[in-house]
Amino acid sequence: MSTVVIVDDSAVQRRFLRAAVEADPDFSVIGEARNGREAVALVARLRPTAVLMDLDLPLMGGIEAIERIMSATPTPILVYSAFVAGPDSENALQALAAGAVDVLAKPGPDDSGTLEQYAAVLRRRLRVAARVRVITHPRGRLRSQGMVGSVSALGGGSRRPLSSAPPADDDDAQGGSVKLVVIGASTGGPQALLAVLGELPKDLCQAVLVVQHMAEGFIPGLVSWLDGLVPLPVVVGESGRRLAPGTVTIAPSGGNLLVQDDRLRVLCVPPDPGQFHVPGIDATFRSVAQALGPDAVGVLLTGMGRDGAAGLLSLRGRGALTLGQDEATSTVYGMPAAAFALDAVVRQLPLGEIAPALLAALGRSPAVRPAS
Amino acid sequence: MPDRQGARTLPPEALAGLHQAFRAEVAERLPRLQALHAGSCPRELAEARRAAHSLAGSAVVLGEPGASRAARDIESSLSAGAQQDVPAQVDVLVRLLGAWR
Repeated sequence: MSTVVIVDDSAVQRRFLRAAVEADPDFSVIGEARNGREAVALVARLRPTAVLMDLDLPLMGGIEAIERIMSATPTPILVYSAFVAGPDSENALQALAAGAVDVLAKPGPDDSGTLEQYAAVLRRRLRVAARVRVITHPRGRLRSQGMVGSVSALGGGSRRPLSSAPPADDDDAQGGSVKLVVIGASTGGPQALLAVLGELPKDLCQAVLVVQHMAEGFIPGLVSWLDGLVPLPVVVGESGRRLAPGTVTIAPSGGNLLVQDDRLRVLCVPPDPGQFHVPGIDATFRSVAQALGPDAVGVLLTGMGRDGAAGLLSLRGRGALTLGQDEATSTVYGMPAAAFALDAVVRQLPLGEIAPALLAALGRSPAVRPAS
Repeated sequence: MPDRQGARTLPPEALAGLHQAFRAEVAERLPRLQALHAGSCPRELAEARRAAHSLAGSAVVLGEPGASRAARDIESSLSAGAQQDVPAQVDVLVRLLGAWR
């Protein structure tokens, strides 16, 4: 039996969420909080298996509540949040950075699905979230890796060379022909992406393509959040355009982004019938395997399910280097585990060693971080 | 009561509770929007934005997408500092929520 605390200031939402959650006999809602302060106190007192939380809360906002819960009584938190263009999607990313496990968009007036369908998605995501073992506050973890607390150092790093020594910019070196790094991620992905992309230098010669499972509407927030924190520019992929070297392109939501040729032109196509995760990692990985073969590097990071595993195998089969995140550092060791089981992973690594391995494969020495 | 397609998919007992909660929410939050005027202070504006946000989310659950859109328009206006647009938008919302008042 998993116990759940619901946090929302609207009685209507709390009732709806309770009914939606308790339709699964394995879930029991043991408490409801109306604001951030109540949430922090209630979670500390009841120690639920998981928390279902809105972000727009009175007295103490959702982000602060997440940070406090994750530092005092770490508990998997599933955020569900209304998407209103702009600031709210940034909030969703901040929620993930603060330690929430996953973010789900609230149904809006223009959604075609029924409430029952939404409730089913909510239960599925809550079941996954409830299984996540949260140990430490991710901000604290990133800080210990010199990632944040140093957000300013990172931001500053984007304006000046990260390395005091000139990079080993030898195109003939091993990996000199690699044109594209393609990364797939799902649950826990945003923090993991920040950890990897934060280590890639501003003068990278390769293009970087990221496929992150994400609810419709949250991609722009992910892009602007990452863009503010990593040295490379971060943009949303557009059909018909080419992926730019030295730029991180994030696959848009709503379909699959395919790389068409070795000039890195991309095409957005609708998801396959019955495709569960959008944008799809397998579809992109397969297209990259086809277009670039050994001139690509594939990376599969944390996430539930198995999307990306078969695609990573295609990449490996065509001679590309493939990296998978290890169990200990994955928020959810699902996709990387599936890839490992298929023998699609050339090297399985802790999160902190993925960027150095990438840079080595690209013929670059890892950036030397100034001691802080 | 108007046909509420979205809400029909929930179990009857949950549905009754939702109706009751939505009526209470409309009764509590709509007046905050109706009370807005040119001289409303920042706290009143912030509370009104939150009220519009809640109503927008709840109206979807009750199968009232039109009212949800109207509430979302109010929220957007208040977020953008376009208070002058709000009274007309509140009139629309009040009309769409007629059955719930």
